[in-house]
Amino acid sequence: MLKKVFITIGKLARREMTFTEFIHKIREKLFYSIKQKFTSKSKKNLIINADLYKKIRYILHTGENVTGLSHIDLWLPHFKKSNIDFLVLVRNFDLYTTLIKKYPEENIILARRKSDIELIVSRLNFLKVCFYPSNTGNNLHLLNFSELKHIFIGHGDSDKTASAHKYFRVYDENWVAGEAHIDRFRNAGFDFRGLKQVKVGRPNLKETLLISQISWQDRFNGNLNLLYLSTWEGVYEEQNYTSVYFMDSFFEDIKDKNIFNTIGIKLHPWVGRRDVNLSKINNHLNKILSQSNIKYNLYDKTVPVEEIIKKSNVFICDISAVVSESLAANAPIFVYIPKDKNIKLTKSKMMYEDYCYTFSNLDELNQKIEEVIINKRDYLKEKREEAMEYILGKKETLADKFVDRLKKA
Amino acid sequence: MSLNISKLKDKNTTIILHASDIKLSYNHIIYWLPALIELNMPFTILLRDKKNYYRLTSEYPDLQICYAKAPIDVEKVIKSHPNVKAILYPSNREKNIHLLRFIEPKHIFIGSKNFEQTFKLSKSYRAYDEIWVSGKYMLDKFENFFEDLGHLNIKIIGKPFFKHIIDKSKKKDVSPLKKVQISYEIKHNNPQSLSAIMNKLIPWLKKDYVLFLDREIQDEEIQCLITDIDSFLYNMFVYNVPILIFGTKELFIEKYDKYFAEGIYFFTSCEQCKDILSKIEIDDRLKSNRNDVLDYYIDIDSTLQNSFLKEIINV
Repeated sequence: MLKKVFITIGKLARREMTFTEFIHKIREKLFYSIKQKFTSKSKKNLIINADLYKKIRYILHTGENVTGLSHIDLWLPHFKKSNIDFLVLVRNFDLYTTLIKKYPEENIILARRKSDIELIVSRLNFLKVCFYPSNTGNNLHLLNFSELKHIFIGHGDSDKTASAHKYFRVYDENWVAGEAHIDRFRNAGFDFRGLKQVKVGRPNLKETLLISQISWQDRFNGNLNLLYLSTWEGVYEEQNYTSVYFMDSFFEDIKDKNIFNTIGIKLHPWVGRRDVNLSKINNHLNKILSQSNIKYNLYDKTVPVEEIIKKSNVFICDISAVVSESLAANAPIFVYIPKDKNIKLTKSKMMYEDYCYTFSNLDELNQKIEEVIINKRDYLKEKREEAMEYILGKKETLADKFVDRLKKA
Repeated sequence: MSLNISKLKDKNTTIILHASDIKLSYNHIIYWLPALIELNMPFTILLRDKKNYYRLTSEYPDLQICYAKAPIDVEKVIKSHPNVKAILYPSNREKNIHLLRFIEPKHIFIGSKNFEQTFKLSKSYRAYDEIWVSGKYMLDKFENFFEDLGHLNIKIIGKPFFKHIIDKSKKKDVSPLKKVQISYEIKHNNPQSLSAIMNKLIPWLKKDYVLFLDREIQDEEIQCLITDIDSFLYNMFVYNVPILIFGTKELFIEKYDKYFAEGIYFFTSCEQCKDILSKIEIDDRLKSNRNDVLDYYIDIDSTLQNSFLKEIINV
């Protein structure tokens, strides 16, 4: 029986000990390292990667986890354009580490607790305004500072009910793209008179709007680049607005018809999260399209949607913010409206039917593609252009109103 | 367990009381419970932490109590209450956002037992549709804080929890002085604390004194309160008895609203305390001031006339 062992593992002393002692020592060592790892991470409640001696006037705050990355990506370039000192304030350790790798030059702070926020704000003597791209419970910690101005800037434009509700009233101002969002508030059925609505356009779509000045048929040397942007299956079945269940048949059908020159597909990163049957949908679509000669691209979730919208001139979308993103390209948009669902959308003057070619099944989609794309009867063109102004604030976007407002905030 | 709606017996309830403060939600519920029970209408209590959920369900097995951990769970609770008209919030916490995004119900902030003493006003209160306050004291605070109240409707409802005590204390007499409550924080080796002079004061009192280290008043029969600045509670005014505070008025005002000082006797030595106690039996000169303070802090009529119940019914 093994009674004594001689160990030379790690930093444990090279000495004789019994087997039980050895096991005990190893266990102790293991527990210590796990504890160390845990406490060293949990202790990082406040990390300051910023020059607090700068005259920081603005905070761009996200209370999200790593999903907040896209919100920061969306706004950070435009904050930089304002030439005003600002810092990015995050509440999640993983998001913080991702951001400092991606934006090493920027002022970024991790403040997990309410007390950390209080400490940071007390150090920023020039702080005037806090900007919020999303509604999270921990926004409250900054909102407690009444002497500061609080501005909601959002992270996209959506008709979903989350885009206009009572919580927005905590902010001083709500910066929106166009009149449509203000109408969503007007039609939501609650009093929001203390909330100032400010139209600033969609700065991230400016480039797309400039490209869209060339008619969609003449863009890309007459090529037709189709982009399919899906949503996910939602938390509940009744909120399941995704078309991914049948779009494989669509691609199977059109891949060899030479209608489109390229096909781009970007599925919502959460597709398959609730319905496991959809977890391998990317592979399935890849298999279908790889069997033809058509040029196609299945975009990764990290690719910004506005980058691929710029390269496309026909869109198939589900109900989500991507519809208004695609709208900037001023090209036909086919939107899936499920018939069997009680779709809860906020009300604005223009509904999807007014500026998008809506469909509820595959036949309807094929029929409308034939009419609009093959027979070149883009009968919603004028309405679409109206929607670009109404929903995206085209005029404000092209005039750089966001940066302009930022300087005056 | 992230959600438990299995105990939902009545899905026709129109009122939800949402308590999300992990440390205080039990106290918040207990504070509002008598008034809600008196309402004689079904209501649901929604909790966001397991510990208080288990505690309350074991203490009140007949009440409709839900526990919802995440926003998705909250959504399920709301969906299981199709007739909900109002959601009541005793505290302004982070998790309230999970309910405030529902447009249809009226969102009403009702505060808690000691809210007036611990509040920090901020713009976040604008999320609610209505704020129900105990008296003009808080109404003035809100009106002064917000230049324009906008959509915010502020209503005075009194403090239903203290209805019984306020009613009973109306006829209270301090002569002869028999029952004195002394509550203070023990500060060892501090000659400047109330505890330091207690040794001299208690033998002199010869009253049926009650010594409580807990700030909360336990005995409704008390005729006088002796405390120190740190242990003072605004709610001490509901007992309609002389309040003697160890410390100067100036120090008190540094910590609390000066308005409350108008109804308090201050002393800094055992001799001064003895002197005040001897005189109040004959002439309690601050009696009227105390009543004014109380009426400003907690609207007496609203409390006695059940304004809370009337407002809830009309919601």
